[in-house]
Amino acid sequence: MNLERLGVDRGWLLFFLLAGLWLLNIADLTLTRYAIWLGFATESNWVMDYFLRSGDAAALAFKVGIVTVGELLLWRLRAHRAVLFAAVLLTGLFAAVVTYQVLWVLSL
Amino acid sequence: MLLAGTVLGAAGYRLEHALWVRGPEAVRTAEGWRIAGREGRQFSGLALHGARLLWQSGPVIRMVDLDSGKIRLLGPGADARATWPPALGGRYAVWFETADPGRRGAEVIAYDTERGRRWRVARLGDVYSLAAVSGDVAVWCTADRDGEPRVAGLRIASGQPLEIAPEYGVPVVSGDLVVWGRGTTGPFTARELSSGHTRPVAAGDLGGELTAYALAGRDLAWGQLEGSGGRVAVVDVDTGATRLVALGVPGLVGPAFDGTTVVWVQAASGSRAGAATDTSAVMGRRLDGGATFEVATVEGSVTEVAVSGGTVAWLASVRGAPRVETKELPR
Repeated sequence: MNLERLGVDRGWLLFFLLAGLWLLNIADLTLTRYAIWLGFATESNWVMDYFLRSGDAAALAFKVGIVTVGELLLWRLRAHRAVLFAAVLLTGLFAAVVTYQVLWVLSL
Repeated sequence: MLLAGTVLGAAGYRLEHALWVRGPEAVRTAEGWRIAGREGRQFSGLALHGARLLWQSGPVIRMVDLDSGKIRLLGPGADARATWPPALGGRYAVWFETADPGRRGAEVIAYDTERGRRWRVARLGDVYSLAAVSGDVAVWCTADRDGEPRVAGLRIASGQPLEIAPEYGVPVVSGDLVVWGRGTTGPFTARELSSGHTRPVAAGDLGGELTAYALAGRDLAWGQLEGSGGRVAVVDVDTGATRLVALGVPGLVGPAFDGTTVVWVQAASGSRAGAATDTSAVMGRRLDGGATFEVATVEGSVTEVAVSGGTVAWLASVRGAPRVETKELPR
């Protein structure tokens, strides 16, 4: 798809996708932490489970930190077309995961 | 892309629940609710308080809100494989769970109905009775490594343990008062949690096998088998004054008691006693006077009954299909 022909700036699109991904990452952590607090969920990712057991600050620092580093890397490589494709895929995937979590928490 | 992801997540959730999560379905009837199981498991462990009704289906603990009909899954937890029937006594529900049914011991799980939160409050040794709950207090009978049974419990919110009696008994609790039967035929013993004062309950004419007993306020209602029939009575724990509620009850199941109304199940006229009957009658009697009345005639066998406020609930098995039904009592 030729974004320039549609009047869409590739840089701004990537920026908004990465910002959305960053916010969805926070939502994912918040919903996971809430579901664990409710007593209905356990963290199956053992790395994240370690940080969640270490405390909210540690979990937040790890999860936000690792996604921020990844996003900065994508931003540095923004000249490559594959970066935009990866950002679109990741944001869509995270949106699906967060939507599923919201519906699941609402069902409790 | 956000929208596409949102649609994908919602579709995945709906698909999962349509194909793999087949929970029971609540249908409003003219008189209450009918909840039919779709998992092929029998129901047990009926617990009713106000507008909340809990039951057990295999290892699964569920709760229905009788105002909305919304059914929630409360247990077992992610690590547990087996549960014991739940108790509900106001804000909190309590039951036991274990990850390994082959090993001794269980976790005591509490569920806060106001916050929608469940947590592990204690670890038990051998489970000798189910839990009973009133307000913030949960009681049960357990045994530690020494194998000596004891009636114990805890304050749910704080987790503060309560040691009630160093003996076997199946306890019930209402407010500050705990009563337990020491065997299948009684006798009953009472203990005030605040003072620690323990005394026998002078319930008259005990002797037959107890079918169930329930405590509300200072009154204890019980049922016992007598020959071909059963008897339902209520005793004032403080004075020992005993009132006969029903006599010669065929196939007695229950009773349940909420302080105002005693309800029980009996074989409907013409059918045989017990859980194998084809038709059962849910009966009730108010303690403030009036005659015994029929709450409902139920097709199939009724195995448990509960009452709270103006609502009666029962577990029925109709041609092998489990069902929970509720009905508002006539005023």
